[in-house]
Amino acid sequence: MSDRETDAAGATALEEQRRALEEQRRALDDAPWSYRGPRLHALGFDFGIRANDGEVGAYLGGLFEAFEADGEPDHVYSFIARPEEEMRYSLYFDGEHVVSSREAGGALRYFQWDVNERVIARNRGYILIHAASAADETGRGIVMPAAMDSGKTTLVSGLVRAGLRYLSDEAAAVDPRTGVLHAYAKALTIDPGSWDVLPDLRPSLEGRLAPFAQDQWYVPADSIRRGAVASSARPAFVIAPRYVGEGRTELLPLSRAQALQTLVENAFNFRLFDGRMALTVLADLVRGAECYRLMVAELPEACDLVLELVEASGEGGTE
Amino acid sequence: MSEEKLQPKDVEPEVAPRPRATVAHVEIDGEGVLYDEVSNQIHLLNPIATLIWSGLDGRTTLEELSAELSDAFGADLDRVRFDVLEAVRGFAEEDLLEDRGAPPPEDAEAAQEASDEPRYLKDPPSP
Repeated sequence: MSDRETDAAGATALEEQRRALEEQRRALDDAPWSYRGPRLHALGFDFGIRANDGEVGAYLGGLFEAFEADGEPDHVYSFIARPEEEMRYSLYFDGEHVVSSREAGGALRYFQWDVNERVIARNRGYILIHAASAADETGRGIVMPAAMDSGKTTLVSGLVRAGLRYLSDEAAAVDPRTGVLHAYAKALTIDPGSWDVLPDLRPSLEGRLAPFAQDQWYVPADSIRRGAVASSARPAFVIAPRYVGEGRTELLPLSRAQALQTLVENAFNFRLFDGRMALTVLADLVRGAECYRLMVAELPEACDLVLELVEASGEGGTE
Repeated sequence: MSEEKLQPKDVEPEVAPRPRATVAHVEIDGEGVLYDEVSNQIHLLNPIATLIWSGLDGRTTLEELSAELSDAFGADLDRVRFDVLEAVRGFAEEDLLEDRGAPPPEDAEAAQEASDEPRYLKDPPSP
């Protein structure tokens, strides 16, 4: 086959794929939906959720309630539950099949991942750092950068439970124009390893919703305390948590340069920005912040240390 | 002048390296942080390495930089030169520098005359 013939065959295949996608999208649009949620908007990603099962749809919509906005969404996720089929749960994004799963927990985990991916991976509006983030009542933000399995969600869950406001358990979003920290207030995703220390956050799901909490607990921060979600904050603390198991819970000073290094190392989308500009933005962030490493052995002690720090700093008139 | 990647083996007192254009630098509380857009790597510099990095402007030879630092801190020139060369070899290993091809000493005066810029600036230019 010549190059031209190969190109033509590729174009035909693409066109067929596009048509199939369009047909699938029309079929989904025409299907009866028991649940159609509101527009959801997260850091520039705009979507809605619809489901063929009203109860399941309302549950899924509730996990994203912090993103609710007026108007019509640009995109739509279709969640289909068919208990009689082997693949009981299927998820589509617009007309595109995203995943099918036998397990409710598996489908939901993938759904959350897909939303994260679409919010984070191609985001050019915010410098996104793999970090939990929270704020106090005066609008001072805490950025907690760390790699996976460092206890970010557990720590921020404990802090929100103790009175701080929630911004994110996944991505600290820094507006490069203003340096302000914005919320990505997805439902807290609590792994089984932390269930023992956060037993009161166990979702009370019954009937066909119960399987959705088998693998992970998805906890909207507003279900911990009404009004717990903050929309934005001025970064005032960088606290890099590290789970140390049997070790000692302690707060150790971190130089601002080390804090900057930690932020950059944990940035999701640093390469999408001009490096010099992005480095300057994050350098300004740490210049205005107190920086620490938090060794976490016991959650209550770790939360106490952070709360005492925030309180003491407030008394000192730092911000 | 040619501009090419500086190899660690080429780091000698007479070279005048400068940061590659793709390397961003900020200084916070005396510590430097470098970000290399090509490798997507971040580097943390101690205060001494930060001073040395700040002196790499593509015009100042490492010998001149060593003399400058030696004067500024009242330190032994041989010792300072050793530290500067070691630090710069480290930067070169990380592929952070380019060599503008500093002219050999006998051509330096002619090169200076051909340039509108002074051969050596006390304050390094902004990156």
